Amino acid sequence: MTLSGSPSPIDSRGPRFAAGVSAVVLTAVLVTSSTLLIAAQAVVFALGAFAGLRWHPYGALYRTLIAPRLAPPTEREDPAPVRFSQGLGFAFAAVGVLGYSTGLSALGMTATALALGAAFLNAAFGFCLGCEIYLRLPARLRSRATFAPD
Amino acid sequence: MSGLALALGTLAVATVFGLLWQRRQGRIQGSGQVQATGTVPVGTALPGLVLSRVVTAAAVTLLQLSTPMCVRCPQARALLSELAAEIPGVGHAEINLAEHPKLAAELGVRSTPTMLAISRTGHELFRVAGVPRRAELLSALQSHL
Repeated sequence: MTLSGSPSPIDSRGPRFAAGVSAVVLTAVLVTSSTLLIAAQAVVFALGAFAGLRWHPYGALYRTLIAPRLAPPTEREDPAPVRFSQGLGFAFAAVGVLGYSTGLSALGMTATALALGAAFLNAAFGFCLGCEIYLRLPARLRSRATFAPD
Repeated sequence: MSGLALALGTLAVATVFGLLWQRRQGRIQGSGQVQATGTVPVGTALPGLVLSRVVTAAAVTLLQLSTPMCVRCPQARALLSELAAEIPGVGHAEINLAEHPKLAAELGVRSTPTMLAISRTGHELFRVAGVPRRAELLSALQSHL
């Protein structure tokens, strides 16, 4: 059984790879101030959080292109905290879209920078900020924060 | 251009934080004072559930606190059970925090795996968050055996 009751554990290298791609995209957003790019990243986060990790585009990229070339996973983890962190990523990216599209560039840049910091920490150090927040939520909030079954 | 500066600044801050976090992982923490982050007062005996898992034949029980799908728990389990088998006076036990959700708050445990070194009298000697570093754990154990 798991803390969240989610059925299947995931290869923990997948979210880390996805975080790396997200970090590159978010850096590009800061450099180019592209509303379109931050909107695309917001959609990516939303798919992972609300539709499920199997719908996450970067996760799919990992599964189809990277995972077959690697050794079988030695570390697996509960998908629920990962999905929660994608939800947080979506919230920041959505604020970023709002900021960049309305000309409040300071707001857009701040939100994007915060998302970049979190994505980079996961990619470079394996520290998943959103997961740490999820694990500190009281149990009753946790089940509420878990979206549709994965 | 300021966007690039912000990106670089963010990556720099995150790198510092990440390095600090990494340095803390697996390190020996406190002798008892870390318990202050939980609700059980320092110096008093640990909760009954913990005491019931203390290996009575051992001078020090390495109690591993795990959750079902924590990424580094299997690594910690392998190391601690190996030490318990190799070193006389060291015992290994494990509690699944998912089955005892209140215990994490009582002990001030905020991530898994966390290992508590517990004396025969049921007091916390020190703890390690993350997978313990073997050499450091061995030297910390020396003075208690």
